[in-house]
Amino acid sequence: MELGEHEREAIRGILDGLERDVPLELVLGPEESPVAVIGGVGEIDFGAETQALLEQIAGLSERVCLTVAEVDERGRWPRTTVGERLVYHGLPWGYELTALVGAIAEAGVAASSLSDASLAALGVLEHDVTLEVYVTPT
Amino acid sequence: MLLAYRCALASPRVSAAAVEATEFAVAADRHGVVSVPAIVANGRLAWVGNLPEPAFVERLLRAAGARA
Repeated sequence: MELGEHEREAIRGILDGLERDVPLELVLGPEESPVAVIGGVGEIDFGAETQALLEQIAGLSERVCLTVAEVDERGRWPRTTVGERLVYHGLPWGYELTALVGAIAEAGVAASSLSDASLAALGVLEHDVTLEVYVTPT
Repeated sequence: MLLAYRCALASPRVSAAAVEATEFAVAADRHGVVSVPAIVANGRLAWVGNLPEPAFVERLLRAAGARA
């Protein structure tokens, strides 16, 4: 999956705002649905496409560093971790590419873009909460 | 999705992951996901659809048990 020049320029512009390095860790392994046939697209190898996409993104900024690991056990692969804690399971394509690039942008700056009220509310959380957001490419 | 990530960056008590529903259909089915975005909080389908930031945080707090 090749990014178009317009997409590359847009992403480069966002990544130019990074204030600190952002590691990307991609883990590949046996997938639940390793290859899919998408109408109008053909066969999609999710792991290979994710790696190709992340390599292109990392190539747009010296502050983004990609590492790739492969495991043997079954799991939700491909798994991309942005920074220390932001996780994406699957191929971040279509609209979700925006979410991935946004995650890099958020992880790469010191200030939160949340409102003061939201930050205050989150600051008093007494229990852990694990969010999984199910998404689709469009 | 970005709101979930922002909340995770703002609080060490929040973890956030996107799950591509068509690739991981078994997990999506297990949680009863029929439309997206669907937010599963602590293993349970909590809400569906995009929300403005204040409502998103409010739902998150409820899911965490901070507000009954």
